[in-house]
Amino acid sequence: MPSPDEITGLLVKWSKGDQQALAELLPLVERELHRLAHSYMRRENPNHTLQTTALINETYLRLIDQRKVQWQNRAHFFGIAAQIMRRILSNYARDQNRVKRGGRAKQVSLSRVGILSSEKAKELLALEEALDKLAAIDKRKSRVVELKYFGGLSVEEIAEVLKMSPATVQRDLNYAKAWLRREIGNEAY
Amino acid sequence: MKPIDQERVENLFHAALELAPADRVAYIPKACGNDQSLYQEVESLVAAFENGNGFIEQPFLELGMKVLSSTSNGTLAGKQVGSYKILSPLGHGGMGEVYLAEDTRLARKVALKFLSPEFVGDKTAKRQLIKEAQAVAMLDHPNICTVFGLEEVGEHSFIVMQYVEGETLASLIGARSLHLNEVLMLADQIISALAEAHARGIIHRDIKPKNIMVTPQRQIKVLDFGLAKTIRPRPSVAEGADSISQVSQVDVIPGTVAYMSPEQLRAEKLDYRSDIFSLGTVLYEMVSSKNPFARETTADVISSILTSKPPALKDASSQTSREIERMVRKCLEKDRTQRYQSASELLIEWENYIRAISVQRSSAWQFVVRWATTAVVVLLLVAVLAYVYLNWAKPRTMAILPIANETGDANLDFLAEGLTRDTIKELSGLNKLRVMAYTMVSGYQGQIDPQKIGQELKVDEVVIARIKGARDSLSLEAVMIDIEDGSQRWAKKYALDLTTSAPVSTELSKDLRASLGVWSQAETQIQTHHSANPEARNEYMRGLHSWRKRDNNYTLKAAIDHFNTAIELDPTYAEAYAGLADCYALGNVVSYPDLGIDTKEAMLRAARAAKDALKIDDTLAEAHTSLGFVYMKSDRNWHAAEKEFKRAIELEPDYALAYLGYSNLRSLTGPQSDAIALALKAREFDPFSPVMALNFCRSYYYARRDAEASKCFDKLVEDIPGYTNGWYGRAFIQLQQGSPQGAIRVLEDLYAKDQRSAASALGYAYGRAGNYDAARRVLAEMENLSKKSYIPPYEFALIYLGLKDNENTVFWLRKAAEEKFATTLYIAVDPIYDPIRSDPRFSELVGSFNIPLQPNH
Repeated sequence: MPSPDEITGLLVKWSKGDQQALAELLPLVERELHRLAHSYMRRENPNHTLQTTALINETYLRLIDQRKVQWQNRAHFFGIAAQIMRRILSNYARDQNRVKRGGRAKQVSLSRVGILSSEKAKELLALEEALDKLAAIDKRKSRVVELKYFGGLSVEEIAEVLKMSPATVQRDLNYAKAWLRREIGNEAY
Repeated sequence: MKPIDQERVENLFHAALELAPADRVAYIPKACGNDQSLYQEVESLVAAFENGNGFIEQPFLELGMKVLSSTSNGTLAGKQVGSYKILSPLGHGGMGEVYLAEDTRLARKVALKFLSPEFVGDKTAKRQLIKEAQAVAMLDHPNICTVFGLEEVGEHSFIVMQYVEGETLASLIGARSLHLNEVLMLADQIISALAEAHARGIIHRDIKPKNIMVTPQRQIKVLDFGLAKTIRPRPSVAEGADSISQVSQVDVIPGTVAYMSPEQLRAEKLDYRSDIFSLGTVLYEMVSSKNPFARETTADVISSILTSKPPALKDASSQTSREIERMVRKCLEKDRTQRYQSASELLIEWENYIRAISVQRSSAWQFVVRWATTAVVVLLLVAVLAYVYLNWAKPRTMAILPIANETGDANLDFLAEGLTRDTIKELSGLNKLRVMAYTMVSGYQGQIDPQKIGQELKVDEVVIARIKGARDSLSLEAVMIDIEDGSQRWAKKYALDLTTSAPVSTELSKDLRASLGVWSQAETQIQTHHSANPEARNEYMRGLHSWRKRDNNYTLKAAIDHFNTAIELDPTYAEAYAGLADCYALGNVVSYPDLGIDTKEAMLRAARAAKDALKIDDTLAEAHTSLGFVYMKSDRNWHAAEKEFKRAIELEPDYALAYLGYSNLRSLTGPQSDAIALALKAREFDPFSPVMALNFCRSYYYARRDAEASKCFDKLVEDIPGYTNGWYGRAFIQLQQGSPQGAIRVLEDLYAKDQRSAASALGYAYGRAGNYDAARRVLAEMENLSKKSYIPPYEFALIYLGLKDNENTVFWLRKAAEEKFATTLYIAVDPIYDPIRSDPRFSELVGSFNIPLQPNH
């Protein structure tokens, strides 16, 4: 595991647009998220949503040396978490869908059951597909959606990560939502 | 077409959103001018935005977190720890992580429970792990996951446990609703496991569906005694136990809140009765698929466990009974002094209930036999599962195969069938023995290989028996085969005398009981509805046999004659009346004229016979069901019919025919979703019956869920190609979906084979496809046929419907309704009548059925 210094350096580099730095950061962040998620879920706190944001925050605090970053870097860090979340969820939904279609899995592990209903899994997969299509037409809007729904970032934070005005973020969100909703169609909901 | 200007679309979209929703409708076309494609683009986006309530509103963070926390880092997977090769993570719970591993010394799979990485090195956590191992090691029970040992390798301490293949009860309940039979059987094992733990002074403290595994053999294994606490510490560990018990009390609320007892939530001192409450929650969920305290937030869950009374089970599930309701409710009492005081107390009542209903159910078998498929020779395999708990020893199970008639005299088939039924009935009354729903068990065809069947059914023993000899010197030979090695465990030959009052089945069942070692003086006498008169009994068995084999009107008439003779010989013979009621209520409507009566008269006789049966014995589900059909088909007394079907289901919760009747009723009254659910139940309880399968597809058809109906019929004709009713159903859905050609081809084939049966459907299909000449030709042929034999008026109505001749359609429908021809009722919901639905004569006719419509939900 690299030192907080190195990780902080990577984050600062990525905030400035260095894609290689992002590629190195992703697995590090994911590992820490994973570890913290385990210990958090064990506590079974009822307020999951708050807790999740807090969790990403805690990951941030653990990995990054606060003295060496500006407040804007935090939003970038959340942006990384959003990407991780999106990938984990779509992989999981795909796996689950495959298991459902292929009949009962021979060994169902004790806990990997019932996290996603099959409707939710299908919904996620449909969204994933539509987001990819949206990205092909308008990359920025798909990023806005990713940050908002997979990373839980506020409009202001998204504005910071993408260097846009908050008003434009809100407009992008409205439009992307309508576009995705239409793309996925009425049936899924 | 010019490409759409993306920027303009966006600008118009945002401009429209600025406006009040009502003003957008006018704004968009104005702003788009003549540009139709621009208009469509903007309008559809705005519409999607407006309809998008709830769509990606909440971030997916929480879900992502759950996935993250449930997938393991896999830190140990692939590693070798001592003699264990760790294969893959199985899950986590408490402070531990469980892995599948291979014990390389013994070459077997085991489950290893490690402390989670963050607890490695934590002394308190380690002591808790040791305590869990010690607690479970005290328990030796088939329904509790066995602990093999506790090991320490380097920094790792871990429990070595039996590896249980299967799924958790949570995933089982999540995937489908359980049959009542399954619930009873699975719950019995859970309660019994808990009774063992309580008897050893151990409280589980975390009973929930995720901690209960169900193996593919339907064996329960209770897992995760990680929170278990020993109440009566063994002297040798007393000191340790005391200090360990504090560990769990420091944890504020471990485990899943939704299954906790009120006292657990209040962090009070716990005893066995806390497990009883959690168990009650699990039982409730098994019956209804719903957690009684499920709420939006954890705070609400806690508050409802503490204060609110769970909704009555009968409101949450269609398959419960007063007795189950009472037992579950007693588990869920907020005041623990009002609950069962230990699991063994509940176990006694639960098993008493199972025994009580298996006595009732044994009579269901006769009905099933009568209703078994006519097309396929199905050897109904009847399994009696004998659970022999000798101080909670391994349960023994046994299956009795249908007795074979090897006399060469087909007139004695009735005897073989009747003896099988009686033997099972008498065994089912035995303590610790229970009968599975017969229809649930596989049907086997051809050669019987007892060992193979035994293995498929996962029983320990199979009993096969045959009748041999000539009429005056009949004998019954029975052998019991041990499935494990195929050896003969027991055999006996009995003389068969048809005139003795004590049937040989009594003797046989007695010997089987003795050989299983489950005979007990305390056995109560099995209550049978049977007549003491051997002649009446023989006649009844002959009646059943004819009814079951009915393939023409002669056998229906023969069945009626036998039942009547049985009643003459013993006027108090309730089952014989019920058999008679079935013949009249459920016979093929076309056969009534051949019996010399019309449908109306048949219904009158059915009602009389059913009421006579119920006067003698009010607990015959068959008679209630027959009466339900009469009330529905003939009297159109919908409420009375519903009451009878419900009562039948209450008496025999796995009686497929009662669900069928109730489903038919719901197809007519709505809600359609109920009709489908009931039809599904009927099919589940009688999986080999084409009638039930057909009915299930039809429930989709009437609900106008065409895509599902179409798929269902496709599968039906594929599974049972010889069942012509399936092909008719499929043809009608094809017509409905606008593809008449395929339907007509099939109907023409059917017509070539059986004009009388296929004429009306073919004529209708021709008309529907616009080929009126062909339709009229079929009509003429039908009129011809009707001079020779009875053709129900309904069939004429159908052809006229195809010819779009409303006047004649209504004329024949009225006639059909007067004749009480059952199919007529369905015109109220059948989509093919939609074109004529607005005709006042038609709506008046449908109105005369007085169907109490219920809203779909």
